[in-house]
Amino acid sequence: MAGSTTTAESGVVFKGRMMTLTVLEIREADSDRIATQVAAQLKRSPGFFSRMPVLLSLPDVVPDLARVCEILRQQDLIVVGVLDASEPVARAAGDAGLAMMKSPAGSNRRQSSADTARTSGAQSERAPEPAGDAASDATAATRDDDSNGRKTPTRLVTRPVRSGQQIYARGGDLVIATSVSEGAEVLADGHIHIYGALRGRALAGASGDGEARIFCRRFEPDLVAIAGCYKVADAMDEGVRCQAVQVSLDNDNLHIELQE
Amino acid sequence: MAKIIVVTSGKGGVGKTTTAASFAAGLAMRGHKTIVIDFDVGLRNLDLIMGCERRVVFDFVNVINGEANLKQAMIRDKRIDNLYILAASQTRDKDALDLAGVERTLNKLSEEFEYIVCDSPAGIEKGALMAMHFADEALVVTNPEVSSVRDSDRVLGMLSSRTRRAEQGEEPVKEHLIVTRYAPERVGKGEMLSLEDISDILAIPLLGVVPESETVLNASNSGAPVVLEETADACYAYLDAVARFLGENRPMRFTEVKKGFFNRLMGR
Repeated sequence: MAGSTTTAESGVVFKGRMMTLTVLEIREADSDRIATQVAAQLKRSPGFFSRMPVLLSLPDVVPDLARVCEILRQQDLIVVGVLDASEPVARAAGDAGLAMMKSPAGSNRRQSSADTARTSGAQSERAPEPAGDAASDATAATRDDDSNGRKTPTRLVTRPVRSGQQIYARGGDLVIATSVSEGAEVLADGHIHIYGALRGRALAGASGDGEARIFCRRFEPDLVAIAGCYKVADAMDEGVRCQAVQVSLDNDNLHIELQE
Repeated sequence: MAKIIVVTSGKGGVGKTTTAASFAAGLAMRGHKTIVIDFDVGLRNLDLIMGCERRVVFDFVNVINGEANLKQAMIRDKRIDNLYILAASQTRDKDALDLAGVERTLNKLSEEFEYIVCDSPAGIEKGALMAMHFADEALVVTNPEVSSVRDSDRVLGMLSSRTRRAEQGEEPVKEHLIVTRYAPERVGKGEMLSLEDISDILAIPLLGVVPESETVLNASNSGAPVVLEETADACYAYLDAVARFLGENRPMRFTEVKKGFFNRLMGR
């Protein structure tokens, strides 16, 4: 098979895989200030970044790399490599035993807000199973978000989300052009738009954004949640079932209202 | 190059093997050289339904392990020209299958056959993954009940992510729906899901509807694919499905409650 090299015994196989990695961009050389900011960032979503592999991006600064790795390790992050390392950074990374990675050709360096870890690449995925789907049925577009010129990835899924699949739009919105089956789960840090039926679970504002909403053309879910506040099918008003609805959060209460 | 068709469902007992046997037989009866392979290693059934269980010497696992060549393991059907069977091993388990061996075997068969029908085991584990991995097209077999439909939905997700076509970013596996054990009068009473309900959930094109029938059971027990039972509705349902698969346009049958003589007379 293409993309894999098998030895005669097949005991060892090298495979090429597309994976999503979180990139941590550091724009600060002072180790202590980095430590404080990382700790503050992770404190907001405890457990969410736990054991997460991260790539370091050091576009303009040369901090003490060994110290930075130590700080991140203490925060339960796993530093796997350095992205587009400059000459001095590359040397330090070599000493620290980190991998050197290059941004894919053609991808322009995206800006990101200084205080958020962001995803790189088109696909974000949490569950291992739908990784293959991600590559084939999802594309992410970037759009200008606000006056600061920030860009947030929006993830577009055009094929049905089947039972057992999980799709996560990390750091942005999720647009699903078809239906979400019973037993499937869709998550987004931003809004979720579903243009078919929602029969599975939808969790918007997955990392705590209470302003996130869920829009759906046909509403018959197992469960919906915004920023951790959830409602199961049993607790929902029958009047909204199978209707076009909008779900929003107000004072820790989920509002499910009919759409015109 | 042969076209590889996997017959799969997730749930057990919905009619995968019956469908694989009849579909392969139907393709052969239309003049296409076809082989049907049993991937259910350890629970081999296809040979029983095809009525060749007494002629199995070597099986699929023997071929994969190089203990026999394909010519020795392929069983020619006595009733239908162009139809061959490759039985599963009853004494082994799914671990006897490996992707490289399956690929090697399918490539070899590809040189000789027009269609390779892979009868998948139930479940979503190794055997089912092996059966679907190299598929070009898939027949997803579903009964009109919620658990079967949900399992089929799960399998559809795997077809779009765990197959060679998906992994290599090629055109996705072409999916077809076969609804078996359909009883229109029970749908009317609300005891079964309707075709509309199923299509709504699974959202893939319907290739055939096979009515619930005693004949299917009898045919299985007597070791003849249902397509040979010319008195049975199920026979024509499968022949229709094969014709549609080959590009013919045939209206769906067996989807309405049969009108009795009296009702027809009264125009009801």
